Amino acid sequence: MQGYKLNLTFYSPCVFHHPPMLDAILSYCLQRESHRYIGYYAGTWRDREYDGINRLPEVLEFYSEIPLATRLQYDADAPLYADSWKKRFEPKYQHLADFGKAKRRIDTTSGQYRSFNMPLPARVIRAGWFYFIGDGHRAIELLNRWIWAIGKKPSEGFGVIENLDLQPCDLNEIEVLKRRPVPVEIAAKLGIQGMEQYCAWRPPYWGRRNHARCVVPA
Amino acid sequence: MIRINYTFKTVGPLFTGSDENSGTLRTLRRQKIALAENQVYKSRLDEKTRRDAVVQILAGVWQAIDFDSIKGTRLMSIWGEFANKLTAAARAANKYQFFEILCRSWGIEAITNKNVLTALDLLTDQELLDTVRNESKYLVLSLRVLRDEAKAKRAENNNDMLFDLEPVRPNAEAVTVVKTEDFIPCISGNSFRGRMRRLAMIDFCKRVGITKIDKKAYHTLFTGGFLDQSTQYEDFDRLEEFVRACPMLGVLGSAIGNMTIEGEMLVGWAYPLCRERGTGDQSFWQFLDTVFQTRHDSSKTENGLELTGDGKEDPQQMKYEYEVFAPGTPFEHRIACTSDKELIVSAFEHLIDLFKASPYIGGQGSVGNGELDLSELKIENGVTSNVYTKYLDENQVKIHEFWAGLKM
Repeated sequence: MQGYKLNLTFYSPCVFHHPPMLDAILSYCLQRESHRYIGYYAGTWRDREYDGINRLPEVLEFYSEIPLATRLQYDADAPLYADSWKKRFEPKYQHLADFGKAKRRIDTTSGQYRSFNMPLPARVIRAGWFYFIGDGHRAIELLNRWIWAIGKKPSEGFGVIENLDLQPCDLNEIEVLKRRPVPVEIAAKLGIQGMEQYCAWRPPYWGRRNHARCVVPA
Repeated sequence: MIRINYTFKTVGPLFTGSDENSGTLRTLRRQKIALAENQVYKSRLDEKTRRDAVVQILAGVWQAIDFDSIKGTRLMSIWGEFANKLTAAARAANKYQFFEILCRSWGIEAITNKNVLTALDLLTDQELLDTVRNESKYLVLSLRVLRDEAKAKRAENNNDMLFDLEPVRPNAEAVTVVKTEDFIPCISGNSFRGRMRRLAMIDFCKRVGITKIDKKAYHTLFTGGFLDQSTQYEDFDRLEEFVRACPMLGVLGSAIGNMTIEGEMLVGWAYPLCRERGTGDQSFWQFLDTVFQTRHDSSKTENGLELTGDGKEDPQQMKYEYEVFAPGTPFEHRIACTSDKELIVSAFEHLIDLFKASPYIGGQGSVGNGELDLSELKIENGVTSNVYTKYLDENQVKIHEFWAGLKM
C-alpha cells in the first residue's frame, strides 16, 4: 500500500484533550458504513460488535496490530483558548411536561436537569495533516461521506473541516509510528523515542484492553 | 452527506450573550481566530508610550465633558459609562471616526487640549483601535489615577489644571508590529441547534397531538436528555424505537437512560464575513454596535393603585446596554446531515423549513432582536419534506400511544 499525507483546513476551532487519530476516525466511518441505518451510538461498543475495527485493514496498513496512521499534526503555535458548551432545561413548553403529583419545579443547579456551562479547550488550527499508509482513495471516500468535523462536540460546530486534500508521499513505517502512540516494547525494538505515557495504542481508544505503556510523540 | 454552505444577513440587531459583562454592557460571544493575514504596521511608539498616547486622548475628552449637566446616580457610575462609551467608539473604522464618536457620545463640541492632536497624529489607526479594544479597562484605570493625582496637585498648587501631562514623544526609529490573532464575535452552532430543536419538537408535539408527556421524556425531546443509568448494556432496539416514535430524535440526537443517539444533523458556527477571516473586505468591528434598553418604574405615575409592602418607595428602573451585530451584517454558516435514510433526510428538510419560517436566533428576541434573512438557505438534491409529515400522519396513533405511555 502507498503512503499519503492528508491535508485538512478547518472552518472552526477544534476541541480535543488528546489529538484525534486518523485510524479512529476511519474506523468510525467504517462503522457508520456497516450500520448505515441504525446510526452510531457513542460510548460502549464492545469490541466484537465494532465492525469499524474489524474492517480497518481494508483502508490501512498495519505494523504488528498497530494501524499505520498518525494522530493529527498541526503547527505547535496554534492558539489555544477556553470555549464552552451550554445546555439548560427548556421552560418555554413546560406545560407539556407531566410532573405527576410532584411540584411543578426543577432543580437547575444539580441532578438530572442541571444547567451546563462546560468549558472546552479549543485550538485554532488553520491547517492540519495526517500521514498514513493505506488505500488513499478509499480513505478520502470514507472521510468525504461521513466526516464533517473532528474532535469533541462536532455537531455543535467545533472542528468543522473546510477542505480535505490527499497527496501521495514516500513514507516508511517508522515515520508514521513515531507520530502516534506505540507500545514501549515495539518502540524500543524500532528505536522510536518520545514521551512515555499509559494510553491506548489502537482503536477503539476507549477500550481498556487497548491501553498499555506507550511511547507518544513529545 | 448533505452539506449546506450558505450565507445569511441579520435583519434586525442580533445579540448572542456571552459569559462576560463589561460594566453594564453585555458583550457578544467571541471565539479566538488566527487572522487570515497577519496585520503588520509601523509604529513610532513603544508599548508604554502607546498607552500614554491613548490616555492623553482620553484625558482631553474627559476634560471637555460638561460635568455640570451630569447629576445624581449617573455621576456615581460615570467611570462605567466612560468605559462603555469608549468600547463603543472603538468599533469605528479609523482613529478619526473613533474620536468623533467618542466626543459625540458625551455631547462635546470642542476640545482645546493640543496634546490630544499630537497623540492622535502619532498613533496609527490600528494601534489606537487595538489598544482601546483590548486594553480599555487598563486605560480607564490609568486615566482615573491620573485624574486623582492631578486633583491632589490642584489642591496643593491652588490651580485649575485637570490633568498635568507632558506631550507624548515618539521614538527615533519606527518598529514593526505584527498581529496574528483576534477574538471574533460569532454565533455558536449550539445556539442554532438549540433553537432548531425547540422548533422541531413543538411542531412534532402539535402534529401528533401530544399535550402531556413524562417530564424526562420532555427533557429528552426539547433539551437533549441526560444519562442516568449505568453503561453496561445498550439496547439498540430501544433506541431505534425512540427514533421511530420521533424521527426528529434521529436528526437532533438525544441521551436516553445509558444510551446516546447521535444526531444526524451537524450545525456549524456562523461567522461574520470579514477581513479577519479572509472572507470579506470590512473588519468585523464595523458590523458591531451597542444598543440600550430601559425599564421605567411606572409605580411613580400609577394613580388608581395603592402600593404596599417594604421598599415601595425604592425606584425599580434601569438602563442596560448590550453589544449587537448591526442589521445587515453578512454571515457564513454551515449545516450538514450525514444520513441517507429518506425519513431522516425528510425530517431534516422539514426542520430547515421550520427554521426559515421562524428565522430568529440569539437573545432579546422579545424586544426586536435576532431576525435573520435566510433566503439563501436551501437544500440541493434533497427529498421532499412530505415524507416526514406523511409518516407522522400515518403513524399518529401509534406515536401518540408511545409517548403517552412512556415512563422513563
